[in-house]
Amino acid sequence: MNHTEATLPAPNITGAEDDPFIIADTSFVSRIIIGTGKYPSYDALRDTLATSGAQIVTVALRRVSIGNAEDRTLESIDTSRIRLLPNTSGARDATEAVRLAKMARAAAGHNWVKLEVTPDPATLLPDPVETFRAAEILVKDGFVVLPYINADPILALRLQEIGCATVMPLGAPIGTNKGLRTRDQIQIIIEQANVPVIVDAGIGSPSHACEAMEMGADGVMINTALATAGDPPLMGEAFRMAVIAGRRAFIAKLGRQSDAASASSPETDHVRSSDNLTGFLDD
Amino acid sequence: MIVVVNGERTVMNGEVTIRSLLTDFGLSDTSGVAVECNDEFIEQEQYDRMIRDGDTIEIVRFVGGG
Repeated sequence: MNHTEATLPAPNITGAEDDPFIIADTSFVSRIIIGTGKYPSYDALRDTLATSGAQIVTVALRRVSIGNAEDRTLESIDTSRIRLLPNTSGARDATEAVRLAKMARAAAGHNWVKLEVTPDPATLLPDPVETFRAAEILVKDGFVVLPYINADPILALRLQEIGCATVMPLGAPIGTNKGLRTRDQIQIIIEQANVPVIVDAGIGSPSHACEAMEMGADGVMINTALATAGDPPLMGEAFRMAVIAGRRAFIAKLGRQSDAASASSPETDHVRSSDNLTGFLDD
Repeated sequence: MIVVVNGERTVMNGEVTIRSLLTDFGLSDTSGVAVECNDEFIEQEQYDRMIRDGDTIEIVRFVGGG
C-alpha cells in the first residue's frame, strides 16, 4: 500500500541565536549542560556531546591513580568549542570545595566552577551552609561560581546577593531520574531570580527537561538520564529537542489552565437530526 | 627521600622532578592536570623543580563527572 507523503517544512531544531543563554557575560546558544560521568564508553560520551548540542560540560577532579590512569574524558571533548566546567564533587565541606576549585582553576586555565558540597553520599544533597561559605570565599577570589543547591528560594537569593553567576536548584537527588519533585520551589526561584536558573539533578527524561524550560528555567543540566540511557547519543537528540521545545513554549506563552471545559470549535450553526420541520413538510 | 604523593608515603631515590614524577604516573600530556606541592600550586613552567625530602604532593586530573 502506498502512503501519500505530506511535505512538511524542515523544523528548525537548533537553539535560537537571538535568544542567547548568558552566564557571566559569556553567550551560549545551547541551554543544555551535560555531565561526563557514567557513560558506557568514551565514544558514547563524545557522540552524546555532539547530538545534545551542549556547549558546556562538567568534569570532576580526582587524584591521579592507577584506577583513573586510563580516563580519557578530556580527549572526548573538543575544548576549543566546548566550555569545561569543573565541579567540586566529592567535597564534604567548604574547605574541601575551595581547595578543589583552586586546583580546578589551575588545571582548566579558567575560573568557572560548579560548586557542589555533598557531605552525605546516601542522598548527595547539597549542604546549604557549606555551599554558602564556599561561595563567599570563591566569589571574592574571582571565581565564576555556579552553585548546586536544593530548591530553596531563600538560599538562592542569598547566593545571588553575594555574586554567584547562576543558581542550580535540583529537581530531585542526583541520579534518581525522578524529575521535578521540587517543582513549586523551582517556580519561586525562577520568579525571584536575577541570574540564570539552571535546573540540575533529577531530570530523568526529555519531558522533565521540557517542563523545566516551559516553567521559565534558563537552562538544564543532565548527566545520569543521558549516560544510562539505552542509546545515549539518541537520547542526546531527544533532550536537545525537548529543551528547545520547552524554551519556545515559554517564550510563546502557554495558554491558561481551566477547570471548566470550553469548546475549540464554534458553538452555533450545528447540524442536527432533530430540526423542527412541521409546517414546512405539510405543504 | 620520603615524599607523600596523593596521600601515600613513597620512597624515592636520586633526583626527581615534578615532571619525572608525572611521567611515572603516565602523564606526559599534562593538560587537565594540576599539581600542588606543600599546599602551593605548581605552574607548568616549574615542573622541572626538584622534589625534596618531606614534600607533600597532590596530583589531580579531570575525569568524567556530573
